[in-house]
Amino acid sequence: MVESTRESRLRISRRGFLKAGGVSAAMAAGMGGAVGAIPFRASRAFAQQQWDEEYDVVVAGSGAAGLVAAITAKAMGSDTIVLEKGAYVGGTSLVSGGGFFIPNSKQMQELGYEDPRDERLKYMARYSWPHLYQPDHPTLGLPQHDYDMISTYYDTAPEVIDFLEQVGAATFAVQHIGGSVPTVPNVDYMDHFEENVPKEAGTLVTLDADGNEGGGGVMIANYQTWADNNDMEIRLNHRVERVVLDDDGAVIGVEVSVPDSAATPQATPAQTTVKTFRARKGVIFGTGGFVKNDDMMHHLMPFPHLQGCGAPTNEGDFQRIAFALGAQQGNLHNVYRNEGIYEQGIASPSAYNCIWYHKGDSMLIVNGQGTRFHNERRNYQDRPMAHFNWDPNNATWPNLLGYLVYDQRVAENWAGNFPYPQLGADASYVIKGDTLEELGTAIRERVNSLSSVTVGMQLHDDFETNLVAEVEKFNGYARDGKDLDFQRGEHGYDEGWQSQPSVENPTATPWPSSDQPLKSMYPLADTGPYYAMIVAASAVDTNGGPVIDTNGQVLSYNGDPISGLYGAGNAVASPGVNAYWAGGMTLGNAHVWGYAAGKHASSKSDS
Amino acid sequence: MQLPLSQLIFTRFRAVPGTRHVITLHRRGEFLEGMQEIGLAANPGGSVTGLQASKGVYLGRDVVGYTWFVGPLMQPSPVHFGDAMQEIERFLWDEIDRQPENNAELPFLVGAEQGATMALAMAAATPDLLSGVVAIDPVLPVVPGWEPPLAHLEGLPILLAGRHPADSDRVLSGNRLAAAFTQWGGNVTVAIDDPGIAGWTAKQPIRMRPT
Repeated sequence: MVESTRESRLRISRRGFLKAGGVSAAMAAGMGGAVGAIPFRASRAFAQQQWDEEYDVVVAGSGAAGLVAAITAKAMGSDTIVLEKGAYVGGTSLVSGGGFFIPNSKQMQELGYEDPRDERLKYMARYSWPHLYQPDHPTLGLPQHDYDMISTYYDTAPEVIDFLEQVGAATFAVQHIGGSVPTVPNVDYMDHFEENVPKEAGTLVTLDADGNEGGGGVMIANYQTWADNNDMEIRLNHRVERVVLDDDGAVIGVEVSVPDSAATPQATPAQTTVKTFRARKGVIFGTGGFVKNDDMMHHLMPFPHLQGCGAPTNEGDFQRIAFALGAQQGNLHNVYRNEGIYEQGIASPSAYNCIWYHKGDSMLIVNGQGTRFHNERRNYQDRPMAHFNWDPNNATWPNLLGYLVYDQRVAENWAGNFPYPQLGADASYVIKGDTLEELGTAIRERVNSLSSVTVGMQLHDDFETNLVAEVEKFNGYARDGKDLDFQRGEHGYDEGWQSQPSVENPTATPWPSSDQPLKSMYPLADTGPYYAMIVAASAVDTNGGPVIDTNGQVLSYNGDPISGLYGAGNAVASPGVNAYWAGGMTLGNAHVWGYAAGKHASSKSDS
Repeated sequence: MQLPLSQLIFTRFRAVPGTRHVITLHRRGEFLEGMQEIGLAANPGGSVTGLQASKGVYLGRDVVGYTWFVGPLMQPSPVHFGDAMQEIERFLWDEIDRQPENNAELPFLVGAEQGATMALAMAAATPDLLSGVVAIDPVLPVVPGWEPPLAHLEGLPILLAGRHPADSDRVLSGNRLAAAFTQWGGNVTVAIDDPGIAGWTAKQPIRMRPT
């Protein structure tokens, strides 16, 4: 109660900002928003005997999926507009790393990599459907639709990049691992699968004006510049709430809510005006998933993802619109995962940072029992799944919260690499102890002080004892060069991405960079200080929703496309299901299916 | 033990008991160290703390700096802006709680670019938690969902320094910015260039707050 009294002093409330940020007022109050589909005869356009505005293609969302779809449609001759619900262009893509998975690209070939089709499809099939995968089966053991989708991904991805370069939207290059090894291309996330021929270089990025590899900000800036130069309007604060249907059930337009004026912290839900937009050829949704819709996350996710780093506007608008139309639903239980600092996520949900990979070598992560539960160096999609290992004896997830434990070597050598603070800096989420026993006690005190940690998430009675024993075992594995429990460091990814010391503090590394058998493991020091942080599985965004076909058209349950309705990116069921084929799987989906949708919609005759 | 409210990373660039305290707020894409030199210059011989935003700016998978809010300076994402304001407010309360005396000495905020925007926003939202504000290259954008000020500024000293970006209907800048803060009760000084910063805090009274 002391904490709530201290918090009660705060003057600044999130509520007004949430409303104004494109997050629906109803959502801010924890309810569902009014989204769906209506027949034309019930629409405002019918009532006023005209549409407010008319276009060939209406695109909802201004992240990578929406902008690639819009650029494609516009460049192919369609009159196109982009409607963005939020107050800024770019959605989650804007704050992303900016890489996207493009197999068999011209750019990787120029670096000497081969990416043969048969093997790549096998890799994708095995990673996504390990229980179905049959290498000698005509569809690799997959249902025809799923096989067609991964085939289309492979075939279309290079075409997307060539097209975007040809129309002048961006220039692309193979993405390299950052930090101190800028010349090493990204290592694929299952580089050790025998089906994976190139092993690396599958991720592309856009280049900035100086020819440097850019992040998500550079990608969005490139696409936004193209829109500006080609008279394609991107309108902010325009939330598509309903699609409008003709008598045959085809989507022919949208109704959009537009705020009359800025909401204020004191105001009740902002007043909005409904505007109507006709879409002669199609409506394409690239509006992201539903990671910021607490109600959908609570009811659709089998596991609790604690916070997420997606855009605050990712509330599942399109998923609910498509379901109201009877669209097939797919992959609703999956997300693109990550880990993050638990306490930071509670304090600032929108400022939450995802931990893409754990740097440092003399570090390990233990669960509430004080024991390791995964290979800490695996990728951010697969690694967090270990947080959801179910304990059938006690009916809980003992790994739900993890405790990242490290020593002074990591604190100094990787200083400034999130989540490790810079040298000399401090942060409340860093827990300290002069000995491992003291650290264990401090972790327990911290956990007990957090009102959000429930009975089912508390530490085991033997946590402190187990922690000391686990560090001793870890140190033995590090000295032997063999992690007998979780095989950390056995595969290229484990070391390729994560072993490089800080470049932010190049002169502050008094430690040997590596004098142990594995680059990824180093014994924790015999003496303190020691440090810890509470980490939890989080979601970049969900990747489930309506099922699309190879043209990005949303499918109904009878298997036919819903005419005029398209989706791409995290707004639809990912064709890769739970897999992360390589760095940039999320933005890869956005590019491939955004392009497919824009191309198909543009090719249609006017409705 | 009472835990801090804020989760922000911070560094004590210089800690001198009994002196004025400056807290710096960095530009977009910087680490907190980006404001060290300015912070030390703004408060010669005094205490200086660097505060770092929570939201990372990524290049690939690496955080190459931090940002207080997402979106252009002229058009911030309201949700991120609100979270950043809340985090800074938490830190200001933490600084009050760290002082054992019954009367806490309040700090000065010194920010540049995005950091200047946040410093001005805090001046308008929590003037009673500050001794003053230095805003370098200052603008205050229109942020939907927030209508400053939240409180009368009661003579809070404010220095507007550096370049003054063009005024527009989306931002308050230049004379309009100075006029707005004056109208809200601030004691505004306009300096054209950075030398106006040096030693400015030493001339301002330290404001106190009962803990």
